[in-house]
Amino acid sequence: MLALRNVSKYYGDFCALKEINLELTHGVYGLLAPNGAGKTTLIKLLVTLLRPTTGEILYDGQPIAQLDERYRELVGYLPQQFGYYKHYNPRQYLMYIAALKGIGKTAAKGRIEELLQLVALEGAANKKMKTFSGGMIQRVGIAQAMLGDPQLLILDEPTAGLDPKERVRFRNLLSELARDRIVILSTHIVSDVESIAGEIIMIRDRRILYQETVEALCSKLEGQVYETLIDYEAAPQFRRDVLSLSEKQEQGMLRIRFLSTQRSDPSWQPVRPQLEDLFLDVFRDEETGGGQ
Amino acid sequence: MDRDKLVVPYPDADVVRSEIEAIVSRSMPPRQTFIAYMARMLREVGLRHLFRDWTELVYVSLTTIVIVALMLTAYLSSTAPESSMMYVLLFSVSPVLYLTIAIIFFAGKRDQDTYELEMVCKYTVYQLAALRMTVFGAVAVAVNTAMIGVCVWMMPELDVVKGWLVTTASLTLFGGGFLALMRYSSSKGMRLVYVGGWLAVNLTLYVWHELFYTAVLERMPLFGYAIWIAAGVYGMTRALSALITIHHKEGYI
Repeated sequence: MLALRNVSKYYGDFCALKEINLELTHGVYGLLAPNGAGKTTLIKLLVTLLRPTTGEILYDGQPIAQLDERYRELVGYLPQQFGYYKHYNPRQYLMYIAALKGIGKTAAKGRIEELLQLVALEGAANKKMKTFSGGMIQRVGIAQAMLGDPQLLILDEPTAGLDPKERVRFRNLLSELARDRIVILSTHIVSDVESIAGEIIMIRDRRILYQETVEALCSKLEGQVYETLIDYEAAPQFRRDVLSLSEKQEQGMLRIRFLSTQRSDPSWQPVRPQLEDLFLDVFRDEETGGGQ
Repeated sequence: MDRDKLVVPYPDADVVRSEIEAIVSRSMPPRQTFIAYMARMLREVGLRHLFRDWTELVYVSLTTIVIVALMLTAYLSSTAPESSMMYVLLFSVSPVLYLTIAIIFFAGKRDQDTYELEMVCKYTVYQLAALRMTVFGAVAVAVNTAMIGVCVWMMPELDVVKGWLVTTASLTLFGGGFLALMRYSSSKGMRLVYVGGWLAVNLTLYVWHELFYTAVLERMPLFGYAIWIAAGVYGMTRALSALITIHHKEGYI
């Protein structure tokens, strides 16, 4: 079990994370927040790249700083900016990372072939990575994170650059892996975690706002999400009255999905709330854009 | 109603001892010696992955060896080479191979995209640097030994044991200082300053008081060199051990 106890991170007077308390066991955890909310700081604390200013992080009851390389042996990590050596091919690169992870040459070779197949790169295993597309690079990144059978898989924006088919395959893979390990998936793309995350961790104002299942989170908006068809001319005023969640053109009119605490018009159709609705509601005033 | 009394038998001494041992061994794994740690790391990482760019490494090493060999040959071919001056030359140039490699291959990778990922692996950039510098140290001693062999062949009056001790003492002094400094700053600028400083101090000592400098190197007894080398090796080992367990207060980035 991974536990964070009153973890805060300051850079001088600037507070990047405040009094974080979390307990993570097996399963997929979706770390959801807009850019700049503290997701990447939290991830970097979990992978030991940063140290908490106060509080402690424990793995199976022992501080991760004290476990040192015994903890790092358990971690598979895909950073947001995935660095690689351009003149390496995926096989060479994975062999290099396997060596740094202390995996024996024979064991590494077999595992690398499996992983190359898993991320559909077996056909490009001997091509230099400088010729790769963004999606292919990302798949190499995912493969290196899975080297060494990590008990703790931490992925920062892993689906960036993947096409829809690859995203689905990746999500299925994570679900399978999460049966007996902790998978933490940091993203601001709600659909990436909605279907696979056992729990969602939402961060707002540098603190944990929620750590709950998707169903529990969605139920917070029960009876408040509606859909209706309106004229385009009426749209500006309508948007001022309610929080628009999504809009699409339909039969020359605008189908709008929105949030309202009361049903002011009988033509409004109540619909089942989704995680994205809550995300938009919670972060409606947040500035987006820009990293940390 | 009487409650059943729950009786928990007190464990006997053997059970208590084995439980304590289990707790201690889990929370305090035995500390490996420096040599055992390096050997394990070398076995697991392998020489092939220790230096990613072998072409650059071989090129730099050969160029340095050729330049040092040319310097020594030029002096030995001069009209009246002196063995005392030869010790000064050996002392000054012995760490040149080590320092050249140290400048280029130490660890200055913070600016690279790969740094973050490599710092989360079992063996981090700093641990690799420690292993790399240990291997370079061993290679430098081997190259210096070969260099002494050639020098003695060209100048038979040179004492082979003293020659070897002078080069090794110089290497351990330089290496220990370099590694100690790298704990605080591993920037390329700092490395250049240190290397430049080493050459400048040697040159200054020679120019400022040639007789004193050469006399110290020539007349120091062999056991004096032995103590110096032992102290230097101890200093290098301490510095490398510190590099293995390095922890920055705020983290690595």
